[in-house]
Amino acid sequence: MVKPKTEAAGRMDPSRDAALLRRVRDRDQTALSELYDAYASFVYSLARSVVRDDGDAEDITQEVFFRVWERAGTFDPSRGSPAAWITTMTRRLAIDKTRSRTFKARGREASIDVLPSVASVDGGAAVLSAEANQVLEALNRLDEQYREVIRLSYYEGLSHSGIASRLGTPLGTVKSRLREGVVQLRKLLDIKT
Amino acid sequence: MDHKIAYEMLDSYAFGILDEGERAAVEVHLGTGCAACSARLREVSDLSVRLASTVPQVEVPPHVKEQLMSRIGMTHHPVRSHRQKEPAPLAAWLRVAWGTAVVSLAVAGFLLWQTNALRTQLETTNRLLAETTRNTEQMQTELASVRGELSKYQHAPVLGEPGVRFVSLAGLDPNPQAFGNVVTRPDKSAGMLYVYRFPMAPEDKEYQLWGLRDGKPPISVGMFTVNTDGTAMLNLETIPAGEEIVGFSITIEPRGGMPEPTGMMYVKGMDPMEEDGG
Repeated sequence: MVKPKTEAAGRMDPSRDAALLRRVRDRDQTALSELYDAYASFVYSLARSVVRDDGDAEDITQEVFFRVWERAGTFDPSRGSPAAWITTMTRRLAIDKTRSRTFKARGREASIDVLPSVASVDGGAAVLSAEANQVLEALNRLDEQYREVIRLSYYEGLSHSGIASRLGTPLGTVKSRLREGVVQLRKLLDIKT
Repeated sequence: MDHKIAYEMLDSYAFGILDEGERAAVEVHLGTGCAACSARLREVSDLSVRLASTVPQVEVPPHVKEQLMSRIGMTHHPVRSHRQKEPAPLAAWLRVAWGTAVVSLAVAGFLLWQTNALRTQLETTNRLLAETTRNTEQMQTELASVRGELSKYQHAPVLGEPGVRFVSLAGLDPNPQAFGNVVTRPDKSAGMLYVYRFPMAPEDKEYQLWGLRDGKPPISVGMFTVNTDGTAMLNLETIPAGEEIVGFSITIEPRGGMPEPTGMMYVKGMDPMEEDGG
């Protein structure tokens, strides 16, 4: 039985996390431990939402932090925050995992309560943070065509061609909808460039 | 990878949905230090973090951290609560030997793992390099082709040049619907031929353009074949200097051309300025 947390995204602090990464780069194991404590639940939950399997999510969590340990020196702050770096790494490993196995039969029938209800925010889980609810509300306000593509790419981890196949839509349309959907969502969330 | 393509893939890159090859290609482009792509990636990655916040958070089982710390070599085991007896000298020696063997095996295992990881990276890099080389060769071929096409027309007269001459070529009996135009400089030193609705010539034949002169036999100006849609363009950079050309005609001739017209004439037109005496 999994134990829910009330914090949505760990305890993210870009400047502290960047400092921790510098220490990890210098082989400071204590820094890795601190980083783990700040992000482990976030990474585990995110991985679990994609692979829908506790064991796989544990493996991915361990692999993410092992890579942080091995590759902290490659972190480039000009491309995003430490949280963004860890998020991308987690999603990539999780999605690769789903693509490397016969995921369809297994994943679609999984009963783990990991996916938020994008279509119905009101019925969202109580453990979601205010931040999470704000994002879900923005998703709900998005045009259906953009929301669907973001949902399939982000929450189901489908590739462009996978989305095109699922929706019966040309590949180019999928790509342009994803781009436009991201632009619209950033506007709705009032993310400044 | 082209900047525009990489830029358009950044959303998917940040979402982690690209396949290995696409991802590596984007990373190669990012590695060039493209500021626009880095800025865009920063934006999309931040959005990805916010989307991730919508996933309900659950506690990660504690053994995951223990395994991680063990994996990176940290002694994370709890301190023993009781003091152990001093081992006998032989037992101590065996422990050292056993410990050395375990460490050696671990080092060997690590080296094997690292070698495999490096091999995988090398294979990926080689694959990307081969792909990039193929793309570069293809682009160089295309570039050479475009340059070749471009060079054909670099001496073409600009339609806006003062005194530029237009000669309309009208279709004759073999194919009355054929027509064309010759555009030349006033002194006919250079020009362009455009023809339309010409039938494809047989394998052993080509069309030959003739410059018509008053009281003299025509002179050859160039050879050409037509496209499948019946059109053709010819750069007239070989018009003999000093010739008083008053018109043009096109005949079909054996491949390589003839010194004077022998085949059927398809189109003909006179320079109106020359006809007007001007």
